[in-house]
Amino acid sequence: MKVRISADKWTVRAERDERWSKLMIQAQEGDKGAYQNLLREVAGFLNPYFLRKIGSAFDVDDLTQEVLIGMHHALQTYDRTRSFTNWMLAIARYKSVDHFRRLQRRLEITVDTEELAQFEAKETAEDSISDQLGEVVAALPEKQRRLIELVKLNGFSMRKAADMLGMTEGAAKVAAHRAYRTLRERLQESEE
Amino acid sequence: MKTDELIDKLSHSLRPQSHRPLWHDYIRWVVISILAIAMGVSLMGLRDDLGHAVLDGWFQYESLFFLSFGLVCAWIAIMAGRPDQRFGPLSKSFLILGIFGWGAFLVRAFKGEPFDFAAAAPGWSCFMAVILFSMIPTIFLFRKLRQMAPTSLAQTGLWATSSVGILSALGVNLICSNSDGEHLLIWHFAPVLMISLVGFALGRFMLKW
Repeated sequence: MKVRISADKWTVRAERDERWSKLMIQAQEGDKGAYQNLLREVAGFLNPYFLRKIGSAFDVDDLTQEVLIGMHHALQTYDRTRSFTNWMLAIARYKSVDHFRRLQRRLEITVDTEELAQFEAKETAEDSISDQLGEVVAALPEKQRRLIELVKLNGFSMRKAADMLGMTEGAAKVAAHRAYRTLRERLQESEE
Repeated sequence: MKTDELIDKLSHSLRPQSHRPLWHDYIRWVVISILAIAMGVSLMGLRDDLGHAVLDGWFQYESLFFLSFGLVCAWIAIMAGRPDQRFGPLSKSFLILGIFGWGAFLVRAFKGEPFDFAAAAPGWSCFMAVILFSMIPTIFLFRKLRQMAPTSLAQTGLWATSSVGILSALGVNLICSNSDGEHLLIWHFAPVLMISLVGFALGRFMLKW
């Protein structure tokens, strides 16, 4: 029974190939009607073919169209003594590999663009915080502002910064503590 | 665009196709290649000892090998360049056989002496000649192959440039009288190998359709 089904399928394929070969030969001779019929039949064949290969309807139309354009380009390369189906499927394989390579490259570029957008958003947010912080620090009393700049921006130790400002280390720590509290409050206010 | 619209557009633009056999294009390419190489050889000048060299059996074998290998490579590129054709194991082994064949001529040129890089006389003119002789035949062959809609682009490129490269090496043998193994290896064999690899790399882009 299995053999019989296979033989039937083979007969159907062979008949279809013969019909397509005839249409193709007519098309090569310039018969537009035959060519149109052939392209319609091939498109009808390729849609389920790609659907089976890919497993989703996504891209099937694009791929079918690319194969039709490819066939049109390679029209004169069809050898009438050989199978049309093999010739057409070779083009379909080539075009589908090419299509997925391009799709892969496009996806890579999309990922890169997304990463770039995230990076830019982060940079913008950091710039905005930095600007805000600069404004709040500038509004601090003179001694507190200089202390913060020396310790947090220039990296001096508390003792060194206190020496530079003519303060005791204890007084500098108290001033720094007050400055941090003021900064926290003002930043919270600006966020609200 | 919808598929139906595309079909209408394609069928509307259909023109009758010419049924020129493949060997017509091949013969045209052979004639163009021989003319291009002959022109290059005449521009650069024949070697002084050519009259003596052509009587040498090894020179004759080598020239025959270059000519036949170059012509067969181009025929394979054209035959396998069509969509429903592939480079079979036989054609691949032919390429390897060609490398070994040339290798045998190189081994003979060393005359049993060890390889001495310093002994290799500078041969930039040979290098340039291989490149120059290859240019027109490569452009013509790539153009022809692209029209044939190949599906194995890199391999088709490799075969095409191998063919052109080895025919160019035949031309270079007519202008260069240096038969030292080192010189032949560095300034004759290496440029052909380089051209072949460039063809393999460029085939992917230049033969795309």
